[in-house]
Amino acid sequence: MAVDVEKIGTVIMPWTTLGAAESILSSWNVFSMVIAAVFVLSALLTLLSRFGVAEAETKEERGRLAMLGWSDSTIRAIFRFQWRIQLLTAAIISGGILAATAGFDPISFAGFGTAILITSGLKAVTGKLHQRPSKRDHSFRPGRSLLTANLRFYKNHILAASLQLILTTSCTAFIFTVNHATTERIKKTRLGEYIHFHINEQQMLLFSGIILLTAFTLAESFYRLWQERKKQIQFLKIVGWQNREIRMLLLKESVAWAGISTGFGAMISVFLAGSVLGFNSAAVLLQIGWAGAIFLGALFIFSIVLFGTLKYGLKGEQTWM
Amino acid sequence: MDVIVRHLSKTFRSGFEEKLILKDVTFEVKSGEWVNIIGRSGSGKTTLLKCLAGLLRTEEGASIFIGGSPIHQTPEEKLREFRRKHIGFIYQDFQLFQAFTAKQNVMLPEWPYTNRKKLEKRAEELLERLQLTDRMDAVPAQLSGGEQQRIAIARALLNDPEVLLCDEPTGNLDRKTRDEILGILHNCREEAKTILFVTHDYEVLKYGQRIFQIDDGVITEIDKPAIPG
Repeated sequence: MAVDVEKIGTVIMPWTTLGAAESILSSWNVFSMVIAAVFVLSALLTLLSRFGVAEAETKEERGRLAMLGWSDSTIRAIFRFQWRIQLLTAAIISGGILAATAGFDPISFAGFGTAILITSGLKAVTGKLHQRPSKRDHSFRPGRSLLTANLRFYKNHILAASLQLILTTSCTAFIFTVNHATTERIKKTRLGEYIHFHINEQQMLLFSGIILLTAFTLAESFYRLWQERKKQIQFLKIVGWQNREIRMLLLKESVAWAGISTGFGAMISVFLAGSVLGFNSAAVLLQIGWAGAIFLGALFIFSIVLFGTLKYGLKGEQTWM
Repeated sequence: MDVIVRHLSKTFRSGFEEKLILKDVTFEVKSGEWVNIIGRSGSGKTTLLKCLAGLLRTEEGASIFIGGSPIHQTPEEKLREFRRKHIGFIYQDFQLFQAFTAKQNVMLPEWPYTNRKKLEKRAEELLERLQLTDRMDAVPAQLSGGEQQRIAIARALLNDPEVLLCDEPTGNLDRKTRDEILGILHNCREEAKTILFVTHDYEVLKYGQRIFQIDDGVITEIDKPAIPG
């Protein structure tokens, strides 16, 4: 290991202080790997959600082509071809960026190839799942209130976003707490502070990536949900509901989705952090505070998407609905 | 409630193109009358119903009065309240919420505004009247087209509205179910409800008292054609 020790120069042997530094670094490395794993999981859930939305968006088009007499295999071939073009374009652009930033490093390109394979696999799985005939309509049992009925009926639309919110809340709250505890411990020495400064930057990058991916999935899921229910929202206006009642119905749903997901995530995080650091009220409060911040963030994203849908998405007075 | 329409015109703009859908439409419908509105696709029938309900803003010079209320001058919030209390809507594609049971669909217009128990009782009465007592807890996907349309009618009748706006409500139904639905609406007319019924189906015409034909946005009253049976 080569570490640039202050006012000494680069020292390679892991003796004394450097031995301690190695121990600090290895614990940070485990930490970085956990964050990287969460990032990868988060990215997979984002892709799952995106592909789900894409399948739903093309469903009508597939139906129309089938009505025109196209066979299922021809329709699938057309959409497969479109997907390959998209994947190829994305691969060329991101491969170019990778080569420009990391050079032709075989490990980076092996990872890049794996990512493309996983993405293709995920797309194929999503396609298969969406092509299965839905049995939900006949076995569906609605809830007693409008809220529970809607939560049950639209659960598949929001499943990927909910899972991602649980993952993000549990992992980031856990990481945030452990990071905070480790940083407090390490920053007591100048060496620890130095290492923290260098490594924390990479972790923060991944950390921000997780939050951004979750925000993207949430925005897309809510957008899709409101688009699907645009006609219903307009119908409620026709039969005389005022905007505040419509907003309240949708707000309750969003609070329920975000509350259940972040609450569940917070519980997992408290359990995980308790197992690692021991249960203490300060750490629990920190995690609940962090989960609360994510909950508010989710509601903020929901409000923006809902505002956009109500303001701009319901135009088009030339149709009944 | 009387429906009075004077000098109603409506133009749709799309890019640089303008299309006049309704041209100086003027008519009166007396309280308790059933008026059928016929015309080719795109002739302006649905646009007329939307203007009557205040879902489309009318052009200057037009006036629409329903039961004396000036629809053309009423602000959006008040219009919604007016629709909720005085107008029932029935559509060709039923417009039922798939997530809710038949009873919840019927209760929907008044859900935020009326006591739940009272609302449930009213919905149950209506479903019973339309012979759907055993289908109250079914979701729309478990119901036939005729049952779904009866639920849509029950929902439209929830507030005992004085005016029913029907946009081809029998368009998706077979002959037997259509007659059933028309029979239910006929009973509504006997309760002095004013019915404006948009249709393509000439069989429906035997149910109304008057017929309006819309052709290229111009409305004319025509005589009832002779319909066998």
